[in-house]
Amino acid sequence: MMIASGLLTGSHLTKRFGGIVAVNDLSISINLLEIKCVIGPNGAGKSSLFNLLCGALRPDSGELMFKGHSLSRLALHEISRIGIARKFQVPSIFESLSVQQNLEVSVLKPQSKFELKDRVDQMLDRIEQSDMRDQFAGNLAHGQKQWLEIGMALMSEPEVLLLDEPTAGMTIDETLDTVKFIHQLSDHAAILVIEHDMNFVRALGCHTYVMHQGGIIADGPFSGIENDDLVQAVYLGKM
Amino acid sequence: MGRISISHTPLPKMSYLVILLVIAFVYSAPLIVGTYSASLLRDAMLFSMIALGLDYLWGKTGTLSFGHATFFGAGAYGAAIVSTKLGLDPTLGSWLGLISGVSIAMLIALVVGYFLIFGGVRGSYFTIVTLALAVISEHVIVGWSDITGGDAGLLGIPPLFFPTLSGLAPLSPVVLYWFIASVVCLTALSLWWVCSGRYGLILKTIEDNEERAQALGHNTSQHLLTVFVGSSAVAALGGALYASTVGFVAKDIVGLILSTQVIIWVAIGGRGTLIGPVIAAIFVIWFEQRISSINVQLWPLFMGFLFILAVFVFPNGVLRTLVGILRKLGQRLEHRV
Repeated sequence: MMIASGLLTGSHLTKRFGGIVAVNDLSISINLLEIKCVIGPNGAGKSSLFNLLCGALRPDSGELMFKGHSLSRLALHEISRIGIARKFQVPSIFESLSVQQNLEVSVLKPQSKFELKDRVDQMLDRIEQSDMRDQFAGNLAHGQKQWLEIGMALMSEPEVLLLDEPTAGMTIDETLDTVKFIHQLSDHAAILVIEHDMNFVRALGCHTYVMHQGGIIADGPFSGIENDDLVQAVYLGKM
Repeated sequence: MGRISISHTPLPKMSYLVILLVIAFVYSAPLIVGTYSASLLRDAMLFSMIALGLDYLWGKTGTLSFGHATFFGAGAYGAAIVSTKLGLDPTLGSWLGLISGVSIAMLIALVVGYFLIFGGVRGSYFTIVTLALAVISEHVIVGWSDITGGDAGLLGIPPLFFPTLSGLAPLSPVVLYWFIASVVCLTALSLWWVCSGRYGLILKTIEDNEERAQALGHNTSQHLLTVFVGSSAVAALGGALYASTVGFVAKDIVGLILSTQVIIWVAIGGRGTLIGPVIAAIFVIWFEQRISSINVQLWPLFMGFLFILAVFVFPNGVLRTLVGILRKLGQRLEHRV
């Protein structure tokens, strides 16, 4: 597999948990303002890969580079500060703060009160939650929590946005809305999405990696991937 | 836990009035209840500094320390040892003792806190290690009797000297009372002010979901360490003032029993309100004096009863429950009018 020198590049990443190799000699890269997707059946190692990319797990071997700098020695909060934001699989918002406060604390060092208020207002508009700004985030519907968390991740104006199953638990309509939302976001940041919902990935229609047993077995545009015999076999459980 | 949060929404106007009344009562108390009762109130206020410190940590970041009496004790013993054992002039020694006591406690908090917090110790594990800290400090006080006086404690700690018209002199009991009341009020108000804005929100994110806060770029470990050291400094200031005010220290001001009581004060007063635990501490200590004067053995029974009450009837603390009732009453009155 070729190692591209992208914005965020993982090369030959390996992560073991005891005897299980969750991620096996895997290379992946994403370029400026690009959308890419990683799919795979449950247990393929998607979440482990995601945690490696955002710094929550350290690889046993392999290297993770962002704009030519190694990420291996950075703490979680430092990785966020250099421009890599993430959305967790389970909606992780601050339930006892209001929607607006959730966005406010997501800005690390606001220039001024007005600038902060401006940015928060804009984001509330983008995630369509202006009318529920004063509600406790814990009271939001599941899909709204997912959007709020994406909004929080965007408040730091990241260059790379990592999304772990952004449509988990969403209705079909919400999923399609989220696809539109993600396409809009790609004007601002490179986005790597991890998903197992085929319908979502089909609607997203971007460059797709297929993961199986810790490695990548296919990659390319989704239309090509979908008709690949090997991929179908993996997804339908014939292997 | 903690879906309902009142601490960051603006307080109803009524509670400003309540706070003003409490402060007015505190300042006029020596003239109303007499000097003996006022001296009890004064000591209770000093102990309430532990509750204030603990609430800054536990109420604002959700991290419970079971060893906060250690810092009160470190402040008190630090002040006592420096002002009595070094042969300093008492006018200077008392102040140097105060500063050293607080510094020693902060240093202990910094070292212990650094290894715990940056070592990733959180939640109940953090609580259990700080519980060990309380036990260890008690053993150090008893065992290191050359320095700490062991079971007998240390006597003859000089009071704080202030410049007066006739040179340096200790304060009269009533003025000393006002001085201590001012220190406690100022500390409580400044902590409340610090936590009322964006900083309080960021601390709250650590309680809600620390990993999420980190992923947003917040250096949560550094925040936690700052709060831990700050909260122990508040407790230590109370301890150091206690040593110079009362004139002696004994081992009952460190260790597990006091640490446990502090947690009960905070729980009764309402975690996260800062002022609630201070008021609760003063009331509970006053209550303790009253009950114990009837029968010493009655007090632990009452204490247990209070704790059960706090957990089951007022899970948000008495203060929050009262504010809630006042709000509802206000709304009902508005409906009628």
